[in-house]
Amino acid sequence: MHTTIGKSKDFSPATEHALAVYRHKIFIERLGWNLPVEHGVERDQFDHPETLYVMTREPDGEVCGCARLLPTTEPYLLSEVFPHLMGGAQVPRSREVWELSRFAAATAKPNPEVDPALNTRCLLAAAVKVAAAHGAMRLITVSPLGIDRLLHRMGVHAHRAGPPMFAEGKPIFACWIEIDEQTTEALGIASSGRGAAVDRPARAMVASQNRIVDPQVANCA
Amino acid sequence: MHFFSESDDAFLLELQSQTITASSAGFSEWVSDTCPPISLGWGWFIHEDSDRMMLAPDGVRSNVMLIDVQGYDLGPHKTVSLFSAWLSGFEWQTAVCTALNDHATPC
Repeated sequence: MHTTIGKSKDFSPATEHALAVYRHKIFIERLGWNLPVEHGVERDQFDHPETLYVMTREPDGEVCGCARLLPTTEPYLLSEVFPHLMGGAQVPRSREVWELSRFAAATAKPNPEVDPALNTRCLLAAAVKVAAAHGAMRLITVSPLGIDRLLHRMGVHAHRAGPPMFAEGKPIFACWIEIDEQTTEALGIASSGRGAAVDRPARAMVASQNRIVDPQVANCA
Repeated sequence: MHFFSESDDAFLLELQSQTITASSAGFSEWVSDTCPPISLGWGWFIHEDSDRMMLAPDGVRSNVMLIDVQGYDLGPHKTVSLFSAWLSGFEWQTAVCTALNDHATPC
């Protein structure tokens, strides 16, 4: 399995086509998402020449995973379509926050040689690395609720931005992924050197979670 | 307040592979009516021998970070641990069973 990273303006026509076919196969045909399709290609207003993509590919070149990264300093999926998932908080607009979307780690055709768990881990690791290289300290995503559990099991430092809500009959939520030591260790990538989020005092952190102080809780254990 | 609950056969298989004697399993989501809203979600399973609904060992997920009296984060692991401890004393099972029965899933 190898990884392709870049902006669509830098992709060859063959790579662009492979990605488009893969996204249609996974998001439209397999998952049944109600997404805009242009000339048989799954594409929305956030797919433009400057959009950053990460792809994992099987040894024969078939795309087996994709992810899209957008800076939150410009319009992105959560800000334009799903701001209500923030539970009343403002959508992030920061150079240190990037949005991860169109994330899928699955082979288009059954292939027992591709380990789904490893594929997911590799793809997410690549996305985190690329985002961090562009200055991101955290990612925000709009995801099905199962992703919350998946990230938790992987050991990634992820948490909800707000309560889940139903979209087309399925629960989705806005998810923060902290690019910290916990996440980089869970994904097997080099630490960003910023230290674990838990080491940072609450006051120094961007207010993104509801914080509750309860003397009984604080004294527990 | 209970938001929704559902059964999940894949989660059941996962728990059984961990030698947990579960006859049914799934997930439950709760949300507060505060502003900002607090969201909590957790896995549950029906213990095969006792028929009791129990908290699954995969943790509680939320949009909350608990802090100490000085305002410092307790961290994600301690937050999860404390929520799990709190849930052990909170009667959530009735609401989950009711929701599951409304979906014609035996509880």
